[in-house]
Amino acid sequence: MSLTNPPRLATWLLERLSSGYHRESLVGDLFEQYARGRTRFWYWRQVLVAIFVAGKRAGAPRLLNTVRRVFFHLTAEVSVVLGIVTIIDEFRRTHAFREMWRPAFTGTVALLATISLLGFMLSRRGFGFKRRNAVINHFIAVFAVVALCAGTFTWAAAARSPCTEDKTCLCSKIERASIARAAR
Amino acid sequence: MRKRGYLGQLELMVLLAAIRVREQAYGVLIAREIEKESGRDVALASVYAALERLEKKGLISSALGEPTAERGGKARTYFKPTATGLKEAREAHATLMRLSSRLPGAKGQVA
Repeated sequence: MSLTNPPRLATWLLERLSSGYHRESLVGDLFEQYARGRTRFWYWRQVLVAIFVAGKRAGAPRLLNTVRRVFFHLTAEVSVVLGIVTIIDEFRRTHAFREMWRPAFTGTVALLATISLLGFMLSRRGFGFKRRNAVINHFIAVFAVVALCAGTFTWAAAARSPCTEDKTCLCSKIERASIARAAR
Repeated sequence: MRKRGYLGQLELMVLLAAIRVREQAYGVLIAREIEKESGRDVALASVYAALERLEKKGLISSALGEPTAERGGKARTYFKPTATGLKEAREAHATLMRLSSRLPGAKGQVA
């Protein structure tokens, strides 16, 4: 790499994050100035200002929307992972597919599935419920809210109840067996 | 009466610098002119943002030059004030002169 080559990372960031229809000229001007002896610090400072100006131009609403989308996407991904972990863990505990479907487990999975569905939906569309297919979007929204409430209440009720021999409680097969032994 | 928006300080400085540079005024030269006269650093991105705003207001026009190797194959954009731009700059100057006529320490004024 020759000394006249500007920092690659800064240039990469500049080309992707700056905005405006004279962006190419701005990049060219920075290249030219760097080639004429400006320092790396100067180059980085110009790039950071260009990104800041682009962000300011894009406006707070768009930035907020991006933050929201990232948040919902992360929530959805975390829910999917938690759901998978819950299913694997439940199967490991019960060792039987039929025994898995206790209300607490079903409620948890339904809750996580709803959160992930909502998260993915909101991360893809933002809050654009009114964009198209308004009836379908409203139906999905109502369904999601009902499912979310039902899932939360089921899960909360099951989680709050004390551990019993009953197969519907949240505790494991081993715990249930020990309770049964103690009762005897 | 025509609805007119005020020019921001940087916009006015950029417009006046472009007028001073005259021919072949591009981002670097305009920024250098502002730095020379104001004694303050100005970021190229801010200059370009102001130039784009001025262009949208019809106060400045742009033309693309030839790309060069020194610029990483990117072309220069040359800016030229329009007739409206010159008129706006004259009016802004006259307004500022009138407003600052009683400024203590200003040229021709007693501190």
